[in-house]
Amino acid sequence: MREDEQHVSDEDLLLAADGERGQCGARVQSHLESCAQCRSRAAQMESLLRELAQAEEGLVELPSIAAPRAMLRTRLADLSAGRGSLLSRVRAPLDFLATAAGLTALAALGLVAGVLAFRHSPPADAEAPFPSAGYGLLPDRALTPGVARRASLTEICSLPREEVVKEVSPTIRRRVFAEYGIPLGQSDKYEVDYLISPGLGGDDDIRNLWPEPYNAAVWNAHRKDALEERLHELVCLHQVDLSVAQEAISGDWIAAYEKYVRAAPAPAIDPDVKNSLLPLLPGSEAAKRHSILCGTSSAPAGAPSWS
Amino acid sequence: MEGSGQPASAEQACDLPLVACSPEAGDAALEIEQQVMSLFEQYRDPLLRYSLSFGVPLPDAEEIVQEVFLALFRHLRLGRSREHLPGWIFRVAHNLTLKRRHANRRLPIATMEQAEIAALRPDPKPNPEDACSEAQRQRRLRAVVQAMPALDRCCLRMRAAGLRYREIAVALEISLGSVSISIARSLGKLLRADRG
Repeated sequence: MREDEQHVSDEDLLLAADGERGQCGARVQSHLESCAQCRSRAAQMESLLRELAQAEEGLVELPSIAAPRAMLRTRLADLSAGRGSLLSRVRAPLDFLATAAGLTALAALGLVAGVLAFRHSPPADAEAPFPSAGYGLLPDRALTPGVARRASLTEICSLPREEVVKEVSPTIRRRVFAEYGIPLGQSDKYEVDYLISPGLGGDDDIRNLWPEPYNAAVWNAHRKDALEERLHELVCLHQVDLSVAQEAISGDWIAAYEKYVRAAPAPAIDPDVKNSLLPLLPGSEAAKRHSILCGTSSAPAGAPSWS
Repeated sequence: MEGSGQPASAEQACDLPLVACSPEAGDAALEIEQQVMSLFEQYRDPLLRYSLSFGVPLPDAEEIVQEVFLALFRHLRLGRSREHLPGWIFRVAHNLTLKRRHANRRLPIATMEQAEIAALRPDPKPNPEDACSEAQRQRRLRAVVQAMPALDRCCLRMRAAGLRYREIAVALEISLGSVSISIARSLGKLLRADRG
């Protein structure tokens, strides 16, 4: 491409376009002003690079950043606080994988489990990628978009506790595992959970059910249970609209946890009072006691939600 | 080396180096955490794509990205260089990806190829004539990319991810000149193939 030695090399054109001011930077700029051939060559290369860069973004449909962001934030907070100190001793990241047999790696792998939840319990065809975009932390939206039944706030808030967190029947469990391609031998590692919990009006429809890993280090079924109960409380205290709660938990429950549980941890209250909150009716004595203990005012019906 | 203002000796004052041992250290940790999260927002997707381009499964790639930013946090807490952080980030991702790929003992070379092909994807709704022409073009470019040395592919992909040449040099631990030669070589091949 460089028949005339007086022309600028491709390498120098690229570096100059990238703002590199080497020894010949001024010469390149000066040459480009007077040489249409080199300008054309530079433009062609930059055009192809732009094409590659633009197409790159549409290359693969990546999972949402929400869950990884929440995961990283938690892990950084743990590092800052000195929790998971075994992991914090892994100074060189490149040593991390090389010492897989050591305690350090085991500790780290425990954290890794959160992201790799479904890899711990792969489907029968281990070569096939799991259909979930969230590796088990979040449901596959195509299979589990979330379905709510028609239910009034009064009905929801008067549910007995066993209805708020009710179990899924074995028959439906098997259907869900089959749908997600999880062998029944692995089923004890998952809770078949309601995406929108019954305590928030979630339906028994299979489109509202998904296998949620117990063994994820951070974002596991236990945490989601905590979110479900917290949202139920907030809905019944009229602090969050039911539709907002349903949307939050079905959209990205990890982000919802960050918002409603982690960002505003439930204050320590008398366990008796706490237990009484689940079937809490608006304006009940339990609600009033809760308001006093938590230092919040009792919101009137129809008050705007948190969000 | 450009330090963060935190001398290494301050680090040594704590039993656990990453544990905040004073209010000032706590503030610094928080600040670093915010910086790391900010870089995560900016580079998570490009890093994920880069890692995926080596054929690493998506969950592994996601975890590699997590490890990269945890390593970055440690790096900054130790007051180490902040120069060319994007290059540093990609270097860690590159090395972790290669190790993970090796550990997996699965070398789906085709993934890189598929990625490159997809990267050259035409407009989603071309007319039939254009589609045919574009398909031919893709086949030509595909053959070129397949034949590229691994280093050239890496340079090209990092450039597509938005890194400057100097940052690519840091990431791959090669000279700036080597990067420009590699990119120019790759582009030359692609352009020649493009002309048919």
